[in-house]
Amino acid sequence: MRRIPITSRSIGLLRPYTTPTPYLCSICKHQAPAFSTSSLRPSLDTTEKIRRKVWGTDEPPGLEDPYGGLSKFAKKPKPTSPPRQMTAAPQLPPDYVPSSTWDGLESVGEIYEPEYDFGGFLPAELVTDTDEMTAALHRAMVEIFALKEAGLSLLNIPKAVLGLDPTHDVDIVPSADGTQLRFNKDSSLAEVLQALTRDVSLSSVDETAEKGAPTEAEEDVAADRSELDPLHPEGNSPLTDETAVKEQPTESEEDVAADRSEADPLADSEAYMPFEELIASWDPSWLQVSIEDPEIKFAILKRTLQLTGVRVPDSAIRSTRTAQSILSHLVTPPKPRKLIDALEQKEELLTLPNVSVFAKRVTPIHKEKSIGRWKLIEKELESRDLPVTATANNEYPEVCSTSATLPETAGETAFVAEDEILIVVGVGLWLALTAKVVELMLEFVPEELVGPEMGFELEMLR
Amino acid sequence: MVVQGIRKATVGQNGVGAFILQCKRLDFHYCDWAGSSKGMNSFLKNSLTKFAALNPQVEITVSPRPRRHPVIRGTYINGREKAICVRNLTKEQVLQKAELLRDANGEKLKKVTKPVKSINESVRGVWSPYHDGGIHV
Repeated sequence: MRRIPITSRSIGLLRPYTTPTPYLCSICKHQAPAFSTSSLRPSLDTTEKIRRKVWGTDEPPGLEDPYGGLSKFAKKPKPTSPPRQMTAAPQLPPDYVPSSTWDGLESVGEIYEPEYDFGGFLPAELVTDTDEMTAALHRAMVEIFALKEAGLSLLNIPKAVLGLDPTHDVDIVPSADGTQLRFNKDSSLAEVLQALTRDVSLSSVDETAEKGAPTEAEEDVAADRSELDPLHPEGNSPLTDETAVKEQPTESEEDVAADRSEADPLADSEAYMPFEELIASWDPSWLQVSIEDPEIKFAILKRTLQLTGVRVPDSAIRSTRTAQSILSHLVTPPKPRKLIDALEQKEELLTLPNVSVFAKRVTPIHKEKSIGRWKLIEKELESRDLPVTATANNEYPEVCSTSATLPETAGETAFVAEDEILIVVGVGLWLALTAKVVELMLEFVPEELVGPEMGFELEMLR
Repeated sequence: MVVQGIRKATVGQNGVGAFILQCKRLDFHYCDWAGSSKGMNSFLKNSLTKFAALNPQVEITVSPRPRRHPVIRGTYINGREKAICVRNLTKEQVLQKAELLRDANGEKLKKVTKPVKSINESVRGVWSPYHDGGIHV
């Protein structure tokens, strides 16, 4: 391999031309680097060089800096911090005993306490079923409109969601002066409101505490239990003990107990009604109810979120104006697996008069059928004993497929009646088949079809 | 005397009477599984509605053709067919091919060298030596 001369090496360009190069033999020239890779001596500045030349020595007298003192740019010494003082360990009390457990010790940081456990705002399980989602939206709307109708604040929507839904039999009807609720026979406004307020009471209010706003049934209880005659208020007597256990609870007391208990008496009967029937029982106009009012819209979305756990995106909230549009964001249709499923959802395309969409492959038979020619073709094929479709060939015995593998010299092929076997006629053909096949065929082939030549061949085989 | 133009009795259309689109039918074949049909499927899903509405005189059929590349097949009034394989093409490219087939006349591709093509014979007729007075020798 040819060597690159040292002058043409790119690294050689870095060599300063002014430095005199000592004599080197040619081998050393190639092996030695073009310039020194060792660090250079610390170069002196011009002032120092001149001073040395003026004085003629390497150690000129005088200050290093003729102006005295430190230069502005000289590094200032760091202020030294005073050495740390060692503090003496505190004197322990004489009765100090190191504890072996953490009981009774002061604790710092977070402690797990069930009462401070954060449960989150959403239910643990998201609702995915379309009908269930629709029912949840309906329930939310009924509750919000009921609160509005009763003149209550929409902010106090209970977080808890209990099983009993009193809104099943309520219709939401859009009317000229806003939305109205139509309560059917199994429902009432009080019932809906009671379910809402009961959720609040269960979560926050103690049973023994005095009620600020007693429910209707509780007022009945108070009236039942008090010995005060409402008609003769002057004969007041002290109230009986609230906490005493009653031997025979009054009817309204049972109502209160039923109201306050978490067990739903109707849950079993309600649970069996499928959502589909439930949705079908409502007036479909509820989906067209306007929810333009931002307060109502927010309350409905919040309640739906509590019931289903499905969040409507913020960007979509602004454009939603009806219950239908909310539902379209809550319920996402499943992604179509096939293109035909996607095309079937396109009304515009399918209604065009010049477009036809097929779900399956269009075969030549379909094309013939569409122009009314297939019946004729079929009839002609049958009259000639020809297979109508490709699958009809499979009705022939297996031997039929053997003829395809025969050598070209096999001769002509003949088809016999459909309940009989295919016979391939020709000299040398039977030899091409295996003896087993021949034996098999001999069982099925009628004797009158076996010609004299073939009989001879068969005899040879045997 | 003022020069007057001759009034037109009819409107000339330079020989053009009515235009009939030569393409009478377009078949769109796709595959649900194969990746080469991706652009075709996107076209069918998104652009076919507009294309079909703009061309009401063309019959359009959509059918699957499993395990095969996507194809657009045009049928023309001269009885011929033209098929274009649109494998791995994008939605826009498939639309271009569909428009190409729609605008085609169904004939085999020929090299056009002359600016005017006509199936009519010459307006002057074929020259004959026996007419126009003949030649007197």
